[in-house]
This record gives sequence, structure tokens and C-alpha cells, in this order.
Amino acid sequence: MAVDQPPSPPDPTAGAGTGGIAAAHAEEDTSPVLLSPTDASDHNTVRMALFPVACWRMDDLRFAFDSSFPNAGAAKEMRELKSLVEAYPGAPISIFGHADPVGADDYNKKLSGRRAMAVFGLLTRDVAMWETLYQDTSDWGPKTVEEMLLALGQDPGRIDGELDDEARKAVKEFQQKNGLAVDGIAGPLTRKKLFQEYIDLLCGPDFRLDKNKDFLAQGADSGGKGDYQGCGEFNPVLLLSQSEMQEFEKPENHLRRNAENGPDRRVVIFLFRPGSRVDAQRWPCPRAKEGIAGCKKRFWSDAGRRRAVGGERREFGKTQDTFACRFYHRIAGDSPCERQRAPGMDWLSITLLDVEHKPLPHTPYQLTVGDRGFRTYTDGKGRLSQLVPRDSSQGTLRLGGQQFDLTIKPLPPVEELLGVQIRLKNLGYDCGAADGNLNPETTEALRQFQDLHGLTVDGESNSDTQAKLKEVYGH
Amino acid sequence: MATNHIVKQGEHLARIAAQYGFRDYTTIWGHPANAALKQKRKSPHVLHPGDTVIIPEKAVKTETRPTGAQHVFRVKTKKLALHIKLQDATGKPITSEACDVAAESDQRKLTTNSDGLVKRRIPADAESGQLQAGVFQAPIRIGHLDPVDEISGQVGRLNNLGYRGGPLDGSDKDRFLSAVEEFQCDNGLKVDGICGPQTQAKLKEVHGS
Repeated sequence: MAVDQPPSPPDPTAGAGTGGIAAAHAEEDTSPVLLSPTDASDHNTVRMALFPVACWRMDDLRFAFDSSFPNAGAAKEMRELKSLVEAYPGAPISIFGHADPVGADDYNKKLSGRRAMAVFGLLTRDVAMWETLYQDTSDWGPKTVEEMLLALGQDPGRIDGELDDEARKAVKEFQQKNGLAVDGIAGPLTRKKLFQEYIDLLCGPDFRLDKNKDFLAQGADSGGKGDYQGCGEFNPVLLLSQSEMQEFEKPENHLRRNAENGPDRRVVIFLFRPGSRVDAQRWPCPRAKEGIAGCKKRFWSDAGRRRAVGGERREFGKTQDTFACRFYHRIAGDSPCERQRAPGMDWLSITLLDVEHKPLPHTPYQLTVGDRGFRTYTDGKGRLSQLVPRDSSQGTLRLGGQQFDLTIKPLPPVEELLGVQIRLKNLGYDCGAADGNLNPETTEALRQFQDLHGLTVDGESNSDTQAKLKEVYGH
Repeated sequence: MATNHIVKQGEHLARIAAQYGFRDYTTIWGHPANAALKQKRKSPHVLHPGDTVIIPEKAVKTETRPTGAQHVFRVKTKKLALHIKLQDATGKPITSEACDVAAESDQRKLTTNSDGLVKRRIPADAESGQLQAGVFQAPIRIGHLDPVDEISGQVGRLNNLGYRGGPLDGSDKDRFLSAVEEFQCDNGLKVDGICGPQTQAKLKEVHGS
């Protein structure tokens, strides 16, 4: 097939997929306060305990892998958060970022902290905070500029972090449109405007939280103590089993491991009982940018056991014993946002071939699965691989001027006629109805396939043909 | 003749004393027959269900006055108070806060001082009430706080201090453990999840009773 037209950008906020959850907590505890009558010297202390009344979670799906930059799909979760905040007037919020257990504790603490900061900046429209995150080029950087331009309708071409001619043209268009000096360079002023516009796109025009009023510590600490923090990898909702971990240690399995660990990479917001107050300086969690020492002080005395990888995989929703931090456990232990974990993710891998069955390397494509849009290039072997939600069933692939509707489900084995038909069909052969029943088109397709690959041409689905088909198809 | 009174949940000495017609519970508390109880429980306001209080025979006081004149007898009744320190979730005093403290139907409007403290008098038989400060509102049970060396007393104090230790019998092991460890952590104690004598003493000190 000819690939000459650049694909048009997907609508990143469309679709019905889900990247999180918003839920009410069970009724708060109204058991009485037990007091003793007192002499002059005694008293009873009554603290206004922290009770979450509702929660919200945004899943890994809404961030680029290993990055704290929220993608445009997050608009959907932001709408849900807006409804939730409106349903609980006066309920102060606090943001908790989480990472998966792969990598160093300290690195994960900071990554999760940046994700919490990114969401805090988003909700409070703090573009200066986003600029701080941007300056950390290991995490955001030029690629985020391209993503924002794309989402805002200025096509930057390939999303690869290289501000090439096409990207500079898009920057210029954006600058022109927004009354900025037109130089094609995404400098501080241009970025500021990009951040503002992008945040507007994600949150909608009228959703804005006040950092001095709507958060738990009311912005008392400039580092966000009590308002937003990262838990690092200390509170996973899923711990893989020992054998899974060993298997995933192998470099070729890292992609699969990162897909399996997806539910751990999340940002959770709690809305607390209206009137809840905390003193930022007494708040137990370290700041988002600080190290793990403060977290470790809050570990259960048996945190080793809780963090340990065992013979079976453990899920917080079932065993309630995977959080290392007892403070977080107290707040989040009953939360539906932590007990109902995100659907897992899987890799969707497709090799693109031309009519002559030659791979299409470095070819632009646009893949939409649920509400997740991907737009980049195939690798040197014409292959594309993307993480998609495990429950995905449909998608579209656009390649040049052509659009393919994808049905995503397990492929029947090649030993079954249906498995043969689907593979042949995906390879461009006509198999008629392709319903698992033999028909003349399938026999003809088999003959063509056998002929092309130097097999005995008999139109039969024999073991030689099946093996070759499996090899050519990829699995 | 002395009577043995077995303490029921929610009873404190002032209430027991009133039942038996004593105006001053310290008469009973100070009686040699209750020396062991006093030693064990330390405070007459914090008894445990099942404790035995020995009610001594009431002493008959004789006052001699001439007839044909009016006499005023002032009966001394030991006053009972309820002191509450209000704190935010992280233990910072909530100062200058308007609050309502109701003991049975007797409601008082009070304002916390610079320590977050409010004080009011309560009748000896007051048991149920209500505490309200801003949007915070909770029913109260006066006399229901058990001694700190009992698990129910430990959970009761941990709950009042916002640690959410679960049911009073400590049957929710994780909640109780988390509350004890968080309390130990916040108060510079060794974090081992065991609510031993040192933790109990600190708990009593931090709670204030």
C-alpha cells in the first residue's frame, strides 16, 4: 500500500475507554467518642481524625511510560474529578502518586512525586510548576511540547522529542495563533502559553482548584506537604509472584513486566470529611521532591513481609497486605480506588507489510484503542508495539489514507481453520466469510500462500503450511 | 454494712457514689477498703467493667443547733468536670474555636483556649452527650473510657487521638497494630506495635487521662 499522506491527528479525548475511577467511600465512622470525667489536672484529647469520603484514581494509561506528563486522554478523568469535587463541597483533597516496584526506591519516590506534582499543577493551573517539571528533561522535555501541539491541533509530525522542521512549523503556527513572537522555538513564553492551553484542554474552562483553600494543608508548605506527595513504590496494589519476577528479569521480558505492573503506577486523590484540617509541618509524608527517609519511618514493623515477593501474586484488593506504609494504609485501606485495581495492560504488536509482503519500516501510523491514541512510526522491521488496556476489544489503525478496523481478541491456534483464515486474511488474502468453515476462497488463498512460500500447492491446511503461516504471521 | 458494687460499662466513681447517696465520691475512693482498687486504677474516673468498689456504710454526721431559729446547712458536693482538648488530625491544638459540649440535655456554648481546651461542669449522672466544633460533630459517652492497661482503654484513647484503631477489643489486628505503631512513631517510642507499659504511659499522657 502506498504511504504518502500524513495521517490526521486523532481526537485524543474521544472514546469510551477508562483510565481511572471515581468513587464514594463507605459511610464515615460515627461511633461515639469515649471520654472520662475529669479532675482539674486531667483532660481528654479529641483529634478530628482524617476520614476520606471519596476517592479518584488516574491510571498509568494517562501518563507516558516512565514519565509524569499527563496525556490528553486525562481529560476524561479530569471531568470525573470535577463532578466528584462538586458532589463533596468543602471536602479538602490530597494527591498521592505511586510507582511500580521496578527500579530504585529513590527514583520511584521522585517519579511518583512528579506525577503528583503534575496533577497538582494541572488542578491549580500552576504553569510555573509545570515549567519546573519540564526543566527536568529526563522526564518531560521537547516530546511533551510535541504532544501538547498535537493535542491543541498544531500537527508537529513525528512525536519523538526532536523539534524538526515540521515541529518548528507547528510551533510557529501556535505562536501566530496566540500572539507570541513567531520564531519556531518553544521557549519559556511559548511553553507557558502551551501549558495554559493544554491545561485548559484537559480540565475544561471552569475547573480550577485553589491551592490555598481546596487542599488538605491549604498550601501552607511551599513543597506541598499534606497537599500532594509521592509514595514511590512502597504501596503497590499488585505484587507479582517470585516466579513471575524471575521470568520478567530477563531483558526480553521487560516490556511484558511493565505491562503487568501497570496497575501500580497510578495517582490517587482522596477527598476528606469537610472541615478536616492538618498542620503541614506535622504531616508525616515527606515532600514530593524529598527522598524516602520520611516514608521509611512510617513503615509497618512487618513491612519486610508486606513488601516481600512470594510464591503467589498478591493484590491489595484481595489480601490488604501489600502497602508498606501504615499511614497510607490507614487512609487508603478501605478505599474503593485502591481495592478495585485497574484492568491490566497488554502489548498490542502489529507488523505492517505492503502488498508484496515487504515490511514497512519507519512508517507513520496512527493507532486508536478505546480512548487512547498513539501516533508515531513503525520500527526498522515495520513493527508497532503499544501498551493497551487488557479489556480492549476494538481499535482503528490508520496508515496513509487507509483505515483498518481492529478487533482485539485472542487469536485461535493455527491448527484450527479459523486461525488459518484470520492469519491469511490479515496477510491480505481473501478467505471469503472467514468463519471457520471451508470455502473455495480459503482453498484458493492457501494455494496462493503455498505457491509464494515454495510449499506443495494443494490448497490443504496441512502441518507444513500451518508452520509456515505461523512463522510468517509472527505467532 | 458495706456493699460490694460491681462496675458496669460506663460507670465512674462519681456516678456510683451518687447512686448510693454519697455527695462526695472521694469519701469512697479514700476509704481503706478500696485501697487496692485505687492502687490499680489510679483515677476514680476511669474504672473497668467488673471492678469491685466497696461502698462503706454512710457515716452519720451529727450537728447540734438550738431550736427556734433558722439554720442554713451547706452540703458540700464534689463537683465533676469534663475537659476536652481539641486538635486537628495531626495533633495541633484547635484554638479559639466555638464549640458546643452537651451532657444529656444540658448544652454549653464554649470557646477553646490557646491549648485547644474547653472545660465544663457535668452532673455525676450525665452519660450521653454531643460534641460539636465547626463541621466536626460526634456523639460522646462520658465514663466509657476504660483504663489504659486494658485493650479497650488503649483503643479508646488511640481512636480519640485519630489513629482509628478499630473495634475496642482490638479484634481488627491490622487497625490496632497500625494505630499503636503510628502512635509510637509520632511520640518517639520504639516502633514495635506492642502496646506495653511504656506505650500505655505515653498514651495516658498524650490523651490527658
